[in-house]
Amino acid sequence: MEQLKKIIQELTISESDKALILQQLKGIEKTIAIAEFKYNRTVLDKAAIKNVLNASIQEIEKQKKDIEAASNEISQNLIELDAQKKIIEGKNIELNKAINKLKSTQAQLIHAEKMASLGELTAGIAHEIQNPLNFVNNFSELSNELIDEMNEEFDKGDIEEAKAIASDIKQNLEKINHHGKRAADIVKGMLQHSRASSGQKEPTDINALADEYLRLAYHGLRAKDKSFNAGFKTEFDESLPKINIILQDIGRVLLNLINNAFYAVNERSKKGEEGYKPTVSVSTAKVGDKLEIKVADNGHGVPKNIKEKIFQPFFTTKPTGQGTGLGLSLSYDIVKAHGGELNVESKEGEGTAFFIQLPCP
Amino acid sequence: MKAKNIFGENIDEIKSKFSQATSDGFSPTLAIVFCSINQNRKEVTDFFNEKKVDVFGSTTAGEIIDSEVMEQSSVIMLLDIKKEHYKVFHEASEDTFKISNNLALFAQSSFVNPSVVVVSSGLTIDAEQIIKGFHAVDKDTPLYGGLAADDLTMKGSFVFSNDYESSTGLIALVFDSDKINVQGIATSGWDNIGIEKTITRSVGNVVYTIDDEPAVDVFVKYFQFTESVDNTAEIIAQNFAQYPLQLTKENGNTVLRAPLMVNIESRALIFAGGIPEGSKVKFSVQPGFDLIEKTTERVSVLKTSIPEADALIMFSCKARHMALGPMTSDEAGMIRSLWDKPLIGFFTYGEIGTAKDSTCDFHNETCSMVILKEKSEGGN
Repeated sequence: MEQLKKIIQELTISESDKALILQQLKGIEKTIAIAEFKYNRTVLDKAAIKNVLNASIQEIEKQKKDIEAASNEISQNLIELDAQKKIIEGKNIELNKAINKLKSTQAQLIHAEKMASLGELTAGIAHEIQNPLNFVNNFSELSNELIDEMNEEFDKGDIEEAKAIASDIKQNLEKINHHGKRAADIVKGMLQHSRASSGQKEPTDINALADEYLRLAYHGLRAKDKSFNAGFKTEFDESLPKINIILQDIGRVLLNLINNAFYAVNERSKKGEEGYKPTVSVSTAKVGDKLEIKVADNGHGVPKNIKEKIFQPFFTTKPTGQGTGLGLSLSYDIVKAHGGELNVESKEGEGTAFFIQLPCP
Repeated sequence: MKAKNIFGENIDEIKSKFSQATSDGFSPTLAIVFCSINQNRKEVTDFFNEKKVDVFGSTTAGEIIDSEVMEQSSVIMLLDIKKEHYKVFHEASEDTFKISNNLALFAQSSFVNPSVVVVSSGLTIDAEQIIKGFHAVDKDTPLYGGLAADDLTMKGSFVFSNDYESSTGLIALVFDSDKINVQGIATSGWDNIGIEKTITRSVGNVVYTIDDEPAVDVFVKYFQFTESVDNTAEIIAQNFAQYPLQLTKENGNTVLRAPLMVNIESRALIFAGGIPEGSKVKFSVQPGFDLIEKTTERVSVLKTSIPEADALIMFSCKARHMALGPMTSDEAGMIRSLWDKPLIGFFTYGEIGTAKDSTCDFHNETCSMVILKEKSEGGN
């Protein structure tokens, strides 16, 4: 370029032409410089872009491999999770089996409890049946003798006397029939108690039910243990209406509470405290829109530390073999199922009272 | 307000050009002086002290005057702006945040509606602290400017005024916006490339590792085209600065961060602005050769808010100089022709301004323009 400039200077042309040519040459020089610059920069940029993009591609490929590895790991984890799921499913089946077995055991236990309370009743029932049977036996023996006497009067021809004796026999037969019916009623009650609950509610005279079970329990205990001696009182609100209950179930609750009460007073009685009069009282009353049955005793009372536990299944203070520990627990469930409540109040050394509250319209 | 540009390579030349410029009765109050570190700044400020002209000065990595690109020279814009329409602020301290804080307080106490043009010296400062420090006091006042440079020697840059000079300080022109319309825009043109990378270790503006690899090694791997790694300043200048990291900030602003220095021992790169640890970045490459047209087009948007101008100030990244080479002067020329008024500027180590669709921020690789126009007495 410099050489070119020299040549132009040496040309025999006008100075203005020279200046014009040199000016154009300067423009050409800049164009060449720009072209050179663009070329060099493009080469560098190309290399830089290539480097960055290659590195990016490598990085993306690495990330792709990482993702594949992670994906494989996830697949592996899924397989393991599936296996664990199967194990858990197997365990679930075993657990369900165990639950079913527990349910059947529970049913058996409830049945056992029912049978146990039936056993407690048996003696009382036997005592109750004994009385009418004695009547039946005595009156039938007496009637037998009266028929012999009547026949003698026929032989004598005294028809009036024979008729008088026949009238006595009729009265005896009526008495036999009456006591036979009573025995039948008692047996019917026993069957009702042992029968599976019908689940049907029926209008029931609570006072009669409480009285019946009080006496059954008392005589049952007396029959089993000659030394047993306790007094009982009743205080029934005669104005109570009949309420709808499942007879067998509430009957079992009453029997359970009354038996417990007698057991409690008997235990205290055995201690031989002077002037102690073992007493169980059963009372009924209307409290607001509830019917309340109170079963109270003057036994030792429930110690505070076990008060919370008495409604728990299998909890019992009785010696092994004498109680299942299910009585109060089942009673609680039965009362709850009737929409009622079962509560306890107790003072150590003074006694215990259970309150059954049932809905009463 | 009238503006006249003069340039010179020594004090005698400057004095002579000043005489010519003032021969018609033109009486400047303010001189914007951008000069190479090789120039004798003391002689220049002494001269202007004598003439009772305020000086707003910075060292450069190349000077811009109208449509010419200079090296090893002083370019000066003389303005006959009324003294009550501007104030010069300067303060030197290592605590960039604190002095920017003070600058904002100064601006607020000077005018009801100030506008600020600021230049900071310091090669290793985290220039983002200028923005943070200023915004801690005032988020509304427009802020424009750049980082002083030192001809890529990486020995020290300076800002200066009549009786002030600092290698770690600020100098600022605070204008009364009710009297002087000040508008600005920063535009880059660099495009991101490749996949996102993570800054795995950094403190302020020093980046130690990128994706757990030493930052220098990453840049060397991609952008090292010279053989020696001993002359770190040259490596930066010739290679790295043109491939800045694009950083998306928490406020959504996208900014470019160019490496300014290398610490060979810790294999760390010192950037002009902060890059928080954990942030995501991408590399970016130099724009195509249509950059000049694109930049001019973007700057021309300002014509709607400031159709007439008295003076133009350009803070252009040194990396643009590298990227545009012999075409750099064309960029200045085309932008100047938008208003056809005197343009003064220099090649910086960083720019402050408002990019498209973002708030004021610290940038690299941008051309940050400031346009001044005195408002007429009855308003603009």
